[in-house]
Parts: sequence; structure tokens; C-alpha cells
Amino acid sequence: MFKNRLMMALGLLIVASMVLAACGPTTPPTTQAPATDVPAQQPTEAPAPTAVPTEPPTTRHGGWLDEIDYSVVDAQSAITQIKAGAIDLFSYGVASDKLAEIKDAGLCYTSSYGLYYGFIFNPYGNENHEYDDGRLNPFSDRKIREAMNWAIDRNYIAQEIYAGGALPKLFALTTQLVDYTDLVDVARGLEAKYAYNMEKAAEVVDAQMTAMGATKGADGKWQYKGVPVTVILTIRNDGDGTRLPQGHYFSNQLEALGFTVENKEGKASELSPLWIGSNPADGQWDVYTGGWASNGLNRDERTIFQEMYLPNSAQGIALFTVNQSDPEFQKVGDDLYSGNYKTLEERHDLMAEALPLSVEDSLQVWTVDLQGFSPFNCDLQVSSDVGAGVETTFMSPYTMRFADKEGGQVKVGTTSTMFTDPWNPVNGSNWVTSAYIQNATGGRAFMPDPYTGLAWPLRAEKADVVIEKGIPAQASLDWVNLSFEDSISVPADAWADWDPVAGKFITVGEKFPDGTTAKMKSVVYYPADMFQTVKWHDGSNLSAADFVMAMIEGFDYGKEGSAIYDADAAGNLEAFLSYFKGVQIVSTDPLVIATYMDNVYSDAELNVSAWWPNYGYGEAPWQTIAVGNSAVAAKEVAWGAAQADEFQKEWMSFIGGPSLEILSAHLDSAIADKTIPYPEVMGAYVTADEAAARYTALKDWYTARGHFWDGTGPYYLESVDLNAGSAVVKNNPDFPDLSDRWSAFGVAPLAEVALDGPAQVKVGEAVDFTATFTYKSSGDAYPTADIKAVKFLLYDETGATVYVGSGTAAGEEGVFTLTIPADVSAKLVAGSGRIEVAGVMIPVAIPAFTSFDYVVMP
Amino acid sequence: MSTESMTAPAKDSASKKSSANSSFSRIAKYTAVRLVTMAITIAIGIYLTILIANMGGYVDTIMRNDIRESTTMAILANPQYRLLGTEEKHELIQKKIATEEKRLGLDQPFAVRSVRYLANGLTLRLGRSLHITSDHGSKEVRLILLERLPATLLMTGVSELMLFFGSILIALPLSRKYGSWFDKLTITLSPTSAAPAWFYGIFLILIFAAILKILPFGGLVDSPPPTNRLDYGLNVLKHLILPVVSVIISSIFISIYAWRTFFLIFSTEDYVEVAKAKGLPSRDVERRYILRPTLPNIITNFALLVIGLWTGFIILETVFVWPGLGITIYRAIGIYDTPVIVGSTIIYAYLLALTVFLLDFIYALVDPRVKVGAGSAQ
Repeated sequence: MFKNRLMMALGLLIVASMVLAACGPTTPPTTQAPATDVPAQQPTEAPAPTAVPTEPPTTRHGGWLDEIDYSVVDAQSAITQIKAGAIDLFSYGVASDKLAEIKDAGLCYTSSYGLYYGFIFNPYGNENHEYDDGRLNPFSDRKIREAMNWAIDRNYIAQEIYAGGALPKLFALTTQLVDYTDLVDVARGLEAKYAYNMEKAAEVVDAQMTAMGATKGADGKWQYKGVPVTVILTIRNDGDGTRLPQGHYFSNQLEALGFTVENKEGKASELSPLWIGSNPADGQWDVYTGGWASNGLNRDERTIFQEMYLPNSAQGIALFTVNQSDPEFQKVGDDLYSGNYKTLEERHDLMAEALPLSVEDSLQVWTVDLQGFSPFNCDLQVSSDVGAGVETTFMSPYTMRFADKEGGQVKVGTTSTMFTDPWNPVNGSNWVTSAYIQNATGGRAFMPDPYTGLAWPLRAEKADVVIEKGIPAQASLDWVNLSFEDSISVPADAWADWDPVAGKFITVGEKFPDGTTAKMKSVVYYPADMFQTVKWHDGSNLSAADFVMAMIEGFDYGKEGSAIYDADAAGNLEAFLSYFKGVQIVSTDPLVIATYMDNVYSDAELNVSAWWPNYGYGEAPWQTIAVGNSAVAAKEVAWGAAQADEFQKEWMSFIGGPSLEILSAHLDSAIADKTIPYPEVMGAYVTADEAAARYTALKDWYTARGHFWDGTGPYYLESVDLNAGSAVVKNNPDFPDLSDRWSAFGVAPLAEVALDGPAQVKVGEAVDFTATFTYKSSGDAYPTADIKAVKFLLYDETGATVYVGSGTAAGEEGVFTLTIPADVSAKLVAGSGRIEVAGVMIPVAIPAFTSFDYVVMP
Repeated sequence: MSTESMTAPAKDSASKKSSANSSFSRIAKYTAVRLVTMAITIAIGIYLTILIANMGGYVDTIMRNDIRESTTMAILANPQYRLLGTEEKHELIQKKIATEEKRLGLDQPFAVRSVRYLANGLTLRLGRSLHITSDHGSKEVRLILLERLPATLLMTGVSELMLFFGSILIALPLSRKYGSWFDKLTITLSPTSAAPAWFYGIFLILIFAAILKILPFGGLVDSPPPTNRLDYGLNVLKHLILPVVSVIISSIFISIYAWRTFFLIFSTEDYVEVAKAKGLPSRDVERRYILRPTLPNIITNFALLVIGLWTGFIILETVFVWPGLGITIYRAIGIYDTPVIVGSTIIYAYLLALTVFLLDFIYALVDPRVKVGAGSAQ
């Protein structure tokens, strides 16, 4: 009997221990009060190894590493796996709330923006702010929507839900990136104005609800026509799961404001029929926990106001079209969208005007910009686009290395999206994980700068950019020569379009018999020896034919009547043709290409048309595209998913599956026939013998490697195991550049700033504060020449901005003096005050902030 | 007498012939009826699956909204279209949406598509998936399922077969040692099966991969994979250890407990006691007097287990990043990929129907009391 009881007790103990283990918190519970007035804590990055400046120049070509092995790993165990040495880097990145775990594990990491979250309101309301069934919609009132900004404690959300791994967000603009930084004084001022203030929110709600005819019952709940005002809050419970606590938080806040809240939780697919699919006038939902994908390091976010708030948003979703925006906001949003300004100062002013108007509209009230973190072994050096993470950073494979040695093997963990869709350069996998591996094998004309969003020449040499007078633009880097002209005419012999039946380009002269002009012209110069030094992995030399083939494919694939026509590509081509005016190969030796466009960015560097044999989904020599086209024309495989369904054939993969045999058969035919694709055009750039040599090189490559993925990058694709989910790339010793070419970009040149000054400010007396900028990674002084601007703001005890000033360089590197003039201090009121400084850096888009509290003495 | 003696064999023969004819017609009739009813059952089951997987057509609404949301987000986030005019951008979004809706067949009523899915499924024309591609990039449902099948069968096969036979081999003698220390230990530990295999998997990964570093965290094979076949195979087996052990730990005690209880009923029968009293060796008693009458049950369980291997382990495959069918089917359900859902269901349905059909005959072979088509055991 005793034994039985003992056994029973033991059994219960086992079950209880398992239940407790399963239910135990993953992080220690916090009893900390909501951080209501604490400035947002910036994630502190562990110091990454810095490229040693005294290192002797390398003689190594290609990538720094001998081999990179990519494999699918479980994201939940990625940090543990790095710690255990099973992998060196988890490139896909982990969610914001994992930051503490990364730090606890002693790992290094890169941070970047990912999704951003907020609440979207149903703005529909008739003249009485009612839905069609007579219920009141409080959020049809702009003032109430605006008041929700005070009702949300963004710092609390960032700290408690995301453990400090997210940035509080008030604007549609990406917090702390290029446009935000440009408007930092306006932005910080508004953030202070709209800081969490539940009393203020209640005050506005009370006033507006009463004005709309609602009454507050004895229970503190709003009633309209005798029934409670019920807010239907639709909360996403899928994805990273953090919209659920955000929704619950907002639900509580709405209840506290007197609304009766009905929470409707569900997956995206369950809620989209409501917020996207239903008629807003039916009032099937009031608030939705929205989430949008970040654009990465976007240097020009002027279109976002129209897209995210205004009724003429290109989104075309009903909730936007019924929003009755303030006419002033509408005009500002439209002007910004269409570039209706003459100078960059005008643009700046319009943006500054749009910011407060967007908060007043608040069709969407933002909460946080999420930060993603890619953890890695600290022996490794990894560069990452500050906007969008390691996997979207083209430069990443070029700079990844072990800090203390050349060569070696790096194991990269990522997700199964690596092979979710087939790889082909024309319309293959669009997953960032696929692109990350492809980046290691590919080259391009220009290298995107991961820290500023600008670009540097990689294979190209320099560019001239000519812009029509009256359109504002600026050049920041010296490889671009920017000039302005009254009118830019497009040469008659430039190629403007494509005739898919004749298989030849339509010239500008044919398309526009009366001639045409463009708003911008870019001329790209490639090095004279490029066709000798740059080789494809199959051993062929890069040639002008590769460029021409890429131009042709861009047109032919989307043109009805073409043998490879794909309806899915037609829309893209149409959109491109709406601003493309022509392209002209000015010279093939050296290669010089002039392009004429009607789309103009404010940064001259981004206006350069980067022609390169990259087809949008990967790089390829012309012969692989020709073989692919041949198979598509025979309707044996398809370039894209939609085309594959139309043909009822396979979506082409260059790296595995049934496509390989089909491609191989077409390659054999091409070798036998010495096929020159699109002979009307390509015949001028390649001979039959050259074509045969190219096809043979490809055949040899396929025979040796078992795939058709061919590039010019610092690594080549050695092998893939599609079932197991792994890929191996190896160093390309024939790569023309030395491995250290991009070493300066190994570590993000992020800055941090320390602020020092008197603890007391006497009214009526001028006072100086000192801001000292240093590198976050090394602590060394930040060069003054690399600091574009230093702005500072004074806040009074209510948090309102009372003064905005600029710092002046103090002589010492990275040190700036912030002077509060006597006439400004004369207006200060005795009590507490705060000064905040923001430094705008040239080499990196993210500014440096800090603040300092003082006491104002009478 | 003589007449009788003359006619008796003839009668006997006629009786045998008539009996044979009768048995044949009974079996033929039974087979025909069984096949027809099973075909109807499968058709109904598959159509119900189609209806459920599509929420009676409501999934069309979900998919339309999903397409709008994802297309809009993709276009807005694409730097290539950043400066496109509002109208052009709007038009592009609408075109993309229309193309995608057409591709997914949303331009046809659900009722029409559902009948097509059913007809294709019943005739084993599994067709093309809506979203999912196979590891090698194919959209043929057949290839999607076939490519994942070996990995699934390897994991489920090894673990379930070891579990099944291990449990029976341990439970059989245990049933005859009711109340022993080991019996009590088994009962005590049986609640450990309250935790699923993936739960143990996480612990095992922690111990053997993260701390001891002697086994891999997961995956089918190391990265980079070994180049020669033997090393590759051995490497796969190394990756198989933790998932298989997880399954076994999570189910072994409850399985032994269940079989032991089942055998216990038979091991206390009078004829077993008589056999024991006769002094027959334990092995013979277990084999002839306990195992034999329970054989139909064991076979049924085994047959259902074998076809169950097809479905894989959804969460365990996720935890161990095992490229099996479980994850694929789970993903298909999540994104409403009806052809893949129907494809996997129809194969399971056919396997199940075939198994149930064959089991009736197997029962008759292993148990003389059972006659096919006789209605009930004689």
C-alpha cells in the first residue's frame, strides 16, 4: 500500500514538474511600473569587432571566407545554437523581445527595422458620425482619433511588450531614419506634445463625445441613443504574437475612457474580411491592430502621407477612401507625393507641415517601430543594412569575415524560406533568405551603402546625372557629377520600347516621331578593362551582350505577343514605361550607357540607372537566360508562378527539380545550333562562335555543379541540398576585387552622444552645454566633418518645446557647444527643464540622441 | 444403405460445391457491397474535407482580402514603384490582384471548383498546388507529397515501429506479472505521456545538443552535407536519434500500460490458467494462449499505425527542423492550399479504406471464428 502511494506521489510529482516547466515564464516577471515618462531606451549593441586600420593590405581576392554554409535552423533555438557553436550567425533575425536573451548569451548582434505597428480606425461616419445602422462611430471624429495618441503609452509598449527592442513611434515616417532625422526638431517637439497623457485624452474624448450627442452613464460608460457605445477592436493573434498584448492594452485604455470594448481576436485571414473586405459604413469593426512592412533604408518617405492616410491612397482599400481628411493635409500630402516643390527646402517645409497634420488626422495611430536582431558569434564581423537587416544587405557577404583571420568557414542559420520558391533570375524566389545567398554569388553595377541608403560604384566607375531645372536634387558622393539643364531631349536612336513580334527595339524616333524630353538623364561609365577582368563563374568573360540581354528581357517578358509573355509581368512593364523614356548604349568599349527617365529622386546617386545583367531575382549570363527563354517559349517550364499555372508546367528552378533536365536539353540544342537569341539585336553584340563558347562553358558548369546558378560575385554556389535545406557557397578566387575593398563598411559607424553642462540655468543668462559625439563601437571621437548637423531642443516642465537651436563645432573632434541665448533663457519659467540634443551623421542615417535635465532658477 | 452409401458422397460433393459456391458468392457480394460503400464514404469524406478546408467557400473571401493586403504591401514597399504616380500605382495593384485571383481560380465559383477538386481527388489526379512548392521547386501536389514522404517515413517509421513492437514485447510478460515492481513503475511513469514528444524533444536538444554538444540541434543532415552516400546516410541517422528518442520517451510507458492492460484480460482467462497448470513454459503460454487470440487486435493496431505514418508529426518536425510531410500539410492548412490538403487526405482515405477492407480478410485468416461476410463472428 505504501509502495502504491509512493508510486502515485512520484507520478504526480513528475506530471506537476512537467506542467510547471511548460508553464514557467521564459523571462523573469517584472514588477516595474510602466515607464510612462522615461525616454525610450535605445538598444545597446555589443561592441562588434572593428576592422583594424593598421592591418596590412590583403592579397586575397573574392570574399574573406573560404566557405559559407547556409542551413535551415529553428529560430527559437538560434541563440542557443550560436552559443553552442553549432552556427555562427542567424541571419534571418530574431524578434524584438529576444534582445535580452542575446545579451545574456554574450553574443554580438546587428539591429534593423522590420515591421511597424499601430491601430487603424474605421473613419466612416455620416453627418451625425453614425454608421448606416445608426450606431455612433467615435473614430469618425478626427479629434477623437488624435486624442488616442495621448491615450497610448508608447514607452510602456516598447519596454513591457518588446523588452526595449522596439522604438516608440508617433509618425508614419520610420523613426530615426533619413527623413525623420532631417525633421528631428519638429519630430521631437511633436513627440513631447503627444507624450502619454490620459487626462488630456479623456478631456478631448469627453468634449467630442458630448458634442456628438453621447452621454456618460453613472457607470462612466458612454451611451448613444440609450445603448452603450461599443468599440469593436479587432486584434491579430498570429504573427509574432505581440499585437495581442498591444490590443489588450489599447482595449483597457478605451474602457478607461468610457467606451465599451468588444475584443475580436483572430488571424490575419479571419480579420482581413472585416477591415479590408467589409463596407466601412456597416461598422463591422472600429479599430484594427495594423502592421506594415518597413521599406528598409528608404531615403525618401514623402509619399507615405498620401499612402497611409489620405482617401486617394493608392491602396484603394475602402477604409482609406471614406476618410474625410483635412483639406490642408490633403494638399500637403498630394504635393509631397507628386513632388510639387521647387527646392529641397520647400520639400523640407512640406514634410514639417505634414507631420503634425498626420497626427491630427490619425487614421492610423502608430505605436512602435520594431527592431529585428541578428545574433552572431563575436569572432565574426557582420555588416547589416540599418533599415532592413543582414539578409537584405547586399554588402553583407562582401564584408563578413572572422575578425582575426582570412579564410575559414562560417555556418549561417536561417529559415526554410531559403528554398520555399524556386530560384530563377527572371521571376523566381522573392524571399529575402534566397536573395541573401544569391547576393554572395552576384555582382552589380553599384553597391548599396547599408548605413546611408546611398550607393557606391561596384563594377561601374562613375556617373553623370542631368536633371531638368526646377526639380530639386543633391549629390552627396563624389562619383556622381550632378548638373541641371533647361530641357533634356532624348536622342532619336535611343531604345524606348520593344516590338515582341519583330524581336527588336522600338527607337525613340519611332515611338515619339515629334521627339520627346525626359526629366532626368543618367550616364553610367564602366571601367575600360571590365570585360577582361570580370568573369562569370563558368569562366566566360562578362560582355556587352550580357547587358543587352538584360535590357531585352525586361521588355519582352512583359509584352503581349512575345513567346515568353507573362501576364503577371505586364503590369510591371507598364508601370516602368510610364516613366521610362529611353536608353542608349553610347559606347561598348568602354561601356557607357545613357538612360532617360521621368522619375526623379532627390538624391542624385539614386537616380543613376544601374544597368547590369541582373534580372530582378538574380544575376545571370545571357546564355542561361537564352536557354530558359527557349524552354519557356516551348511551354515546357515557366519563369513565374502565374505563368506556370497558365502553362500547367513547372515554375523554373535553376538549382534543382524537373527544370534542370528540361534546361539541359535546351542547352544541348543551343550548343548544336549556336543559337543567338533575339538575333535582330543580339547579333550586333555576339557572334555564333562566341555563342557556342558561352553555351559550352555553361554546359561544363552544369556538369560540374549540377545547377545553372551562375554569377560574377565573390562566392560561387557550390552545392544545394534542397530536401535538407542547405546551401554552400565557396570563395571565387577569380573575383577582380581584393577582399578588403569594403572593409570600411565592416562596422556600422553609429554614434552616441554625451551631454554635459550646468545643473542650474539662471533666467536671463546665456548658458552653454557641451555635446560630445563618439563612435558607439569603439568610443573614439566622431570626426566633426562627419557630423552634418547638431540640433538641440529645450523643453519646459510640461514637456512642451520652448526653443530649438543648433550646436556649433567647438574645435575638438566630435565636440559641439549648445548655447541657450540670454533672450531665450529670459523666457524660461522657474522649475525643471530639459535639453535634448540630436546629431545627424553623414556616414550613417541613424542620429544620436541624448538629454540632460536642469533646474531653472529665477 | 447402399443407395444411401451411393448418394452420400454425391450429396457431400454437391454440398461442398454448393458450400464453395455459396462462400464465393457471399465473399463476392460482400466485396462488392464493401467497395461501393467505401467508395461512397471516401467521396463524402473528401467532399467534406474540401468544404471544411474552404469553410464552405468563405475561404474565397479570405483569400481575396489576403491577396489585396499582400499585393498592396508588396507594391508600397517596393522601391522600384516608390515614385510611381498614384493612379499608376493603384492600377498596378489592381492588375496584380486580378492576375493573382485568376491564378488561384477565384474567378470561378467555389461550387464549380469544389466538384473539380473532388473529381481530381477521387481519380488520384492530385493536380497543382495553389501556393506551396516542393523542395525542388515543383507545384505538382504529387511531387510535393512524395518529396517529403521519405523523411517522414524515416522518422515516423523508425519511432512508431520501435514503439509498437517494444511496447508489445514488454507488455506481454508484464501482463502476467501483475502487481510486480516493474508493473507498478510502468503505471507510475505512464503519466509522462501527458507531455507530447516535442516537449521531450526540447529537453533532449538542450541536453545533448546545447550542453553536451554530441548530437545535432535538428535538421535532416549536417551543413555542409557529407558528399559520399554512406557518410550521408550515417549522418541522417545521427540526426534521427533525438526525434526518435523523443517519440519513444513520450509514449513508451502509456503504450506498455495500455497493452499490458489489454493482455491482462486474456492472461487471466481459464484456458490460460489451465495451460499454466499443465506446466507449459511461460513463452508458450504467452505465444499460444495470450498472443494468438489477441492477434486481430494487434494487426488492426499495426495496420492503422502503418497508414498513420503517412501523416507525420507536425510540431516535432518543426522543433527538429525535420523536412517531413507534417509541416507541409500544416502549412497547407494554414494558407488554404486546397489541392495539397485534398491530396494528402485522399491518399490517407484510400489507404484507410484499403486497410479496413483487407483487415476483414486478414481477421478471417488469423481467427477461424471469423467468416468474411457472415455478419458476425461465429
